[in-house]
Amino acid sequence: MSKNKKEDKRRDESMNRSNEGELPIELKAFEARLAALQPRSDRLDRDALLFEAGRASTQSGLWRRWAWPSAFGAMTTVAAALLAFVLLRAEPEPIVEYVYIERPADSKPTPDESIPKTVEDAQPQKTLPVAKPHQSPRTEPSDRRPPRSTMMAAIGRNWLGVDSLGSSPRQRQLESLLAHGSDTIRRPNVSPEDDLDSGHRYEPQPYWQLREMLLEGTNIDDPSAAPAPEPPLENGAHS
Amino acid sequence: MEAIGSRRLTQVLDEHGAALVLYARQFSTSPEDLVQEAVLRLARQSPPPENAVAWLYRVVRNLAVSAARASSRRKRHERAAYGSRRSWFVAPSDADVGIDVDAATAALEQLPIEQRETIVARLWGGRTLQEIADLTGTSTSTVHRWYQAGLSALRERLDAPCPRTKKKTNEETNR
Repeated sequence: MSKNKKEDKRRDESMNRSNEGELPIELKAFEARLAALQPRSDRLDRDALLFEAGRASTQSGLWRRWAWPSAFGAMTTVAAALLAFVLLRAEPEPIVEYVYIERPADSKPTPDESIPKTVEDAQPQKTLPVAKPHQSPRTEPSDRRPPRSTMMAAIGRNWLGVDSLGSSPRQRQLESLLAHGSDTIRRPNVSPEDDLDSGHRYEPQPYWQLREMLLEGTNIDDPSAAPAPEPPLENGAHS
Repeated sequence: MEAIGSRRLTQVLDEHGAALVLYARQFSTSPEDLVQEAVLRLARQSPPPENAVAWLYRVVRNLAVSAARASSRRKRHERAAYGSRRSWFVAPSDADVGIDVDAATAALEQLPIEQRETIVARLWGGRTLQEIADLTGTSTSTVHRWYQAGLSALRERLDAPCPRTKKKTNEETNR
């Protein structure tokens, strides 16, 4: 039924088209008879062709097919390039800039601010300070370090428990020891109980007196031969 | 933009598939492959062409010309062998048109390619003279001249049927 309709439609179309160009009458009749023939289409698999067309319609355009692979490849290349740049780049040289800061003449630090409260404050820092931009850790002025007397006061406060090392003879000796070494230390007193066997009593003699006796050849064990005692050295004096 | 819809594509294939194959057969011994490739290209078109049928005829012709240029000698041998075996038409079932399908095929094969292409595109493809002129790259008057000359040649060969061909056609009709 459908084939008959198609043939009728084709015949009508061919008749209408024949009006487009002027043809002789005998040719018009032959044209209509010839148009009645149906082209063979048995080798055209319509269903398979429609299936392939559906597949092709979903893959239309090269950009759709290569869009994601291209984007993936581009991003991978960029990431690899950035990684290589980070790994292979040279270390930047540090910028050392000396900054000289003029201290005002009338601005002296107050005692409370200059004297550190603890030993950790007085000791030089073991770790380098964090360099600020355009500032090297070596550029710290030397006048900002605590003075030696301040350090001594801090040591005496923390280690010996005294506020000032010069308040007693014992403390003055310690201060001298810390400041100038062991040359100023007097010989410690010998307890009488150390020589109870011989019954000899040793009088405490200072170090300078013993040294003088040694230099003069005097017998140290004979205290009567010792020279007249001299006053001890003042703090900070070398013998 | 959307591609051509499946309904429209089915309609085009139902109405013009056979004519497209016949048109492609004028140039190639594997016309179904040409039509299939053209339909696939039409499915990929986004947006689809305004006149899908005319577009298909143009693509089929271009594909056929390209294939013919690639292997013209092999195609000629294959066409000779293929044309001797298969007819291009099937006889109508409702009425006897008085034209044998094998004789029509043989007569068409003997026409020059431009006359044959014009007759096939106009009679069975439903193309206008202007569309055929666009396809072939000639003028409408030239196409009309080819068409009239081709019809005259076919009429001379087919309008005086031999008894043997007529008998065979009647047997096929009785079946």
